[in-house]
Amino acid sequence: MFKNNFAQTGRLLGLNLRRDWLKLTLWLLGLVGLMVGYAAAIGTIFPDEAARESLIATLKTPAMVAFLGYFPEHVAMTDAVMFSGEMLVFMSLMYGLASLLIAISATRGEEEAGLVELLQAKNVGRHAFLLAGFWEVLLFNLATLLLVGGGLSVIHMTGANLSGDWLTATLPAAFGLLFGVVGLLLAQVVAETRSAMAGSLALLGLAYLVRMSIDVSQPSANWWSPFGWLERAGAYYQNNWWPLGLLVLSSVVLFAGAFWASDARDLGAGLVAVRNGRVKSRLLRGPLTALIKTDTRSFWSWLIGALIIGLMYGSIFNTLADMIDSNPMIKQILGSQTRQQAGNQVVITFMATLSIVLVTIAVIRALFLANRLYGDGQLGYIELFAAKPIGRIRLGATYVGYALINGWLTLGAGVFGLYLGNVAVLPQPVAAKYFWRMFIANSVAVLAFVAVAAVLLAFAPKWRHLLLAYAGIGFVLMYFRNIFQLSDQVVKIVPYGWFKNIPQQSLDWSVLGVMIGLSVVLLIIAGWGYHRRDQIFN
Amino acid sequence: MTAQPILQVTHLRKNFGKFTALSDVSLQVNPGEVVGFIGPNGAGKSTTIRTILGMLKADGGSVTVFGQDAWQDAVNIHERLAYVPGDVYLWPNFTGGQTIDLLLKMSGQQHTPRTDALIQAFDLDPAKKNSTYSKGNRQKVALIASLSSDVDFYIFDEPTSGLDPLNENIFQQEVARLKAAGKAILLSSHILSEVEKMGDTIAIIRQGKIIEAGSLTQMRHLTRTNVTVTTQGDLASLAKLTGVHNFHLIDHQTTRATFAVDSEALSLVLQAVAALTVTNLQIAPPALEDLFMRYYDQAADPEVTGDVQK
Ligand SMILES: Nc1ncnc2c1ncn2[C@@H]1O[C@H](COP(=O)(O)OP(=O)(O)OP(=O)(O)O)[C@@H](O)[C@H]1O
Ligand SMILES: [Mg+2]
Repeated sequence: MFKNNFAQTGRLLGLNLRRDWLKLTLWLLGLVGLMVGYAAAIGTIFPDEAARESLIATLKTPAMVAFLGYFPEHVAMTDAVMFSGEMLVFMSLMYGLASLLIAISATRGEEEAGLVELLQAKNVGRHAFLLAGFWEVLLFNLATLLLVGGGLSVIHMTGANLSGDWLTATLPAAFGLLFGVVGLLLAQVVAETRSAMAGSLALLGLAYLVRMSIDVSQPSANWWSPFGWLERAGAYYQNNWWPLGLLVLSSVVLFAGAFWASDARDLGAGLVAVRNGRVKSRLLRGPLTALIKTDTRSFWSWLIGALIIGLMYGSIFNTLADMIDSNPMIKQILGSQTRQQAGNQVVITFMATLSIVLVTIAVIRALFLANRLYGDGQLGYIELFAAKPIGRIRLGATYVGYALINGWLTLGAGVFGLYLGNVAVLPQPVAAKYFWRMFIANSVAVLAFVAVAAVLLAFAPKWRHLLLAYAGIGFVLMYFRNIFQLSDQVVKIVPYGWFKNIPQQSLDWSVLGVMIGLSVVLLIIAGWGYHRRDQIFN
Repeated sequence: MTAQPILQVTHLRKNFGKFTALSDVSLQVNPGEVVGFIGPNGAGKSTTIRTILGMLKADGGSVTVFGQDAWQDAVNIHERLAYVPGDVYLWPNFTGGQTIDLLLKMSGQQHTPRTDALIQAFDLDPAKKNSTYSKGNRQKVALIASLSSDVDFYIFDEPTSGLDPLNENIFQQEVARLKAAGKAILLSSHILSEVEKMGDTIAIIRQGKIIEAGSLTQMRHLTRTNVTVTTQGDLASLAKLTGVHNFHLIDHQTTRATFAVDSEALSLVLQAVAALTVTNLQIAPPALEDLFMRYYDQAADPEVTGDVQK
């Protein structure tokens, strides 16, 4: 019985580790590097008291609380407390992301590739893949735990204590494990890698959003989201260990669920059988409609997701406006305007920071779609199109164009959500023109990203993922440029760095025009390159 | 115009980076002709076909379809051509019926009563989602869309690799129908007996090079007849005759033997056998499999080896 179910799990784990070592190492370096690196630097980045004060004030603004998590009040602000307040939520998001990607590719990914079938016919146990996937995630998170915990104890930030160091190392690891297990569970429940990823990402995002909306309004209720549990631990100042128990307990329960699902389903299938569909479709007629039909679910998810995030940020606009009442310094800066005008001024300033969130979501959506030009080639769909009277340019333009339009739609949904939230909570809402500025300037940035993506796809498709990393770096630069006190020149390495003061300032068409012009040139080059290269298959 | 071949490939070369996938491929397909394109795994069949379809750019030589350049005029050419890939991957969330219609529409073709007839003949449930189809059923979807298209040139890359014998038979009938209607057909395979049933002409490719091409009758000329014989006299001397190959005594008896004879030497060898007083004689007609084996590395393809033994 035991042998039947778990035979060869160890060997399988060995194979997985050997195959994934690069991916695992990169994630490990990235996560541990960020944690330990920032801990080592935190004492030196903000040496003078004034800089620290302004940082702490920034971290307590709703925009930062929404993004990085609740920042404790009435606690002595040592480096250690600041570190856990800034890092725990955001880094756990990254741990969760890494873990679920690793878990899904080790289980459902393998199954889709036919590997499971091949090996199960040998004497590999029924649940061996599931268990091996679990071990992989567990080992990965244990490695981060040990490295980060060791690193933090050696660095010993001011105000740190041993219990806090290890709690700060353990919480994100346990959180990673939890979402790794969520990935394992969904990989058993649904039949496709893509759906399992989409589902677990959505859950991770939902947990994050729930925490976001609770943290900015009523932090004491934040145990509704697993992210809130991290905050509840009060690392370095309260050092509660019970949230850790909660994380481990939920992981165990969900893993049991994954086992049950794995037991109840057939090989290659999900828990839910695929139902038959209509024999005819009025929509389908070519590559574009095929793309639309395969993309329907993602389309709505991204659009609604962006709208909700916009709404969420929009609905904290009133807390932003309230802030100037409690902060005489801001009042002073804004001069003798009425409270209302001054309040909206603050909101508009924050919109510049928020727009980076919305545009990054739009850019990621657009890049994912553009990259399907390569992905669908590997899946064999492009071969079916290419044998038809459909020109290469039309085929490439269909994918890139659909990506661009979706990027714009996603951006539009986010900005629209922001506007709606603004209208709902502010007695005198910020005028629509600021939202238009925000949308127009950032849609040029989306265009620029898509154009570069198109060039990569035409000439060096292997490097297509670089752009996602670039978008990630751009996000960090722009969102935290005040905290890191980055110069204007540095942020200009990303498109939105060129118009970072939108929407307070009006649109500068000389900058936007150049960006549009360059993008068009890049798109033409991409078209030329795509036209003259082989269509790459498998 | 009438004399123009549908497909003309001359000295085609194709490299993937440093790797030469095709070094010298020449191929011709005429209207009303079925050309079998045969070779072991990795020989370059699919690469040749994808170059013909303008998906890959030739590095040398020329490929013309309907007299037009395969790369430059791909769109025009594809209006008059139907193709079934070797590995059929279909959009997982479409049904089979939707996929067939999509493939037809993209070629500017209609869903006709023929389409329905083919769905029936191949016994496909068009309401099922592609993700739930077996390999053979996915192949059927692509085959039905292609076979019900009214075009001049059909290209099938290993069309029957996933089909059961019943469906393979239906496919062969369909090919016969297309041939009778004067269509041109290019068919790749590594199973010779399959091509033998449908093809007029075969081209054998190995390591990116066409090593033999011609009509089936011409090819048979090159093949060896298999002989199994029991005599009263001693057969050992036969082994030394020119044109006799693979000579083996059965059960170590000098009176029973099996061997292969070159077609040219057949009458001479049979005379020698007759002189030994024949008690039992079996002559197997020359199968192309044997010819095939001469060009394959012996251990290259177990599938073919299996065919020879039976
Ligand atoms: N895009 C590519 N990049 C690099 N090498 C390739 C590419 N496509 C094919 N090859 C190589 O070219 C050779 C010919 O491949 P091809 O697919 O044409 O073989 P085939 O005759 O169709 O084989 P099979 O019978 O297995 O389908 C193989 O060695 C293959 O690995
Ligand atoms: Mg092939």
